[in-house]
Amino acid sequence: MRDNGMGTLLAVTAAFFLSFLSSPSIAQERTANIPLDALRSRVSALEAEAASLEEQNKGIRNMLRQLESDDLYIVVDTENNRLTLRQGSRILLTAVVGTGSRQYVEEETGRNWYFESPMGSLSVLGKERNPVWIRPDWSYVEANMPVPEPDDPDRIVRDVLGKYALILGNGYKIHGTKYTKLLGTHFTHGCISVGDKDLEKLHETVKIGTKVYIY
Amino acid sequence: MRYWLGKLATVLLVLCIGAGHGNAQPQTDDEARDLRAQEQRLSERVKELRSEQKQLLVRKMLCSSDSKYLEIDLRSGEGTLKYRTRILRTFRFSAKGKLPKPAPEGGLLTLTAKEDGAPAKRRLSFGNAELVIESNAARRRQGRPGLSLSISKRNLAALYYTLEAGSFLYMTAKNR
Repeated sequence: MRDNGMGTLLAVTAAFFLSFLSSPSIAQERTANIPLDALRSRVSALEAEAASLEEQNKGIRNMLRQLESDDLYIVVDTENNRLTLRQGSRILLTAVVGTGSRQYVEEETGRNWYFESPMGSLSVLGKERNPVWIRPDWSYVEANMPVPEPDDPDRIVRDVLGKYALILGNGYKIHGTKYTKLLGTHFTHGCISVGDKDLEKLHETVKIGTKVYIY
Repeated sequence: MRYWLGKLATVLLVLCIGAGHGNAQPQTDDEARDLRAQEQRLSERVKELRSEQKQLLVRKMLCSSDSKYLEIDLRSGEGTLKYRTRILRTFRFSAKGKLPKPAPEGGLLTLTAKEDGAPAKRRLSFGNAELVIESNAARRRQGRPGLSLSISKRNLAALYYTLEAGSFLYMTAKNR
């Protein structure tokens, strides 16, 4: 039987196609070439995204670290009449205090006062030794006394605010009191009254600019 | 016979060439497998980083806003009333019930209702009442879904008068 060349040609062609198709080369490389490139670009896009997110998170963490300070601060809880001196998360002092009486006083002329401790974020604006009380108008109204002139020397009262005072502004102070039995209650006209020992510690520790948070 | 041997040799030669041509494939497969694994790993990492960023942004928002907020750690049973980064008050609580799934976005809930009444009956309700803070002395409402945190009357009074509708409660990441 002589070969007319047709058989050989057929066998070679079939074998060639078989070899390509049976190995995954053609079938997959056609599809794999594109997905491989796509995969590579997806991976590099994800790498870039992860790097960028890491960078952003690092920035936010740094920002948060800067916000966390180790400064001293005072917290006054007016509901429970407690003062806390803190540094970061440490408590340096807890004191029983007196806060605003939440009483309302009205003068015949219509002037009125509500005795509440100032809420919010304040700062120690000054420190005093042997503070003097300049008696305000409401004190006379409350006592049913005639209100004297603003510069009347009668208004100057010594030895009622304790040995020290921390000035909070707008007439409010953290100071001592003669009425130590009332500490732990709402009895002041808005100032924060503190016992002698606690007041001394506060005066020693606190600096001008120390934040005071009253809630 | 020679004729058939010749044909066989030709076919084998062609098969060898074809197979040689396909030798690059295992390498391609390996690379594709590696890339897919890398893609998977990176996708998880990106997801993790996004979630971390969400947390950090919530903390940044709380630390720079002008409102007081609560930070709750369900694992340790400790809560903190905070203003920015400052601690105003810490308190212990006992938890009953469970937070409904899914967990609140970013671990953040908003104070939606303050129920007034006798000190022991006051109640702070967060979100869609998913979380409630009440006094130790309060009787838990039967059949109420959600999580209930019981705290002392003194602590409840402080929170009650300090927080306003809209105040945030933030559950630290380890809770969720």
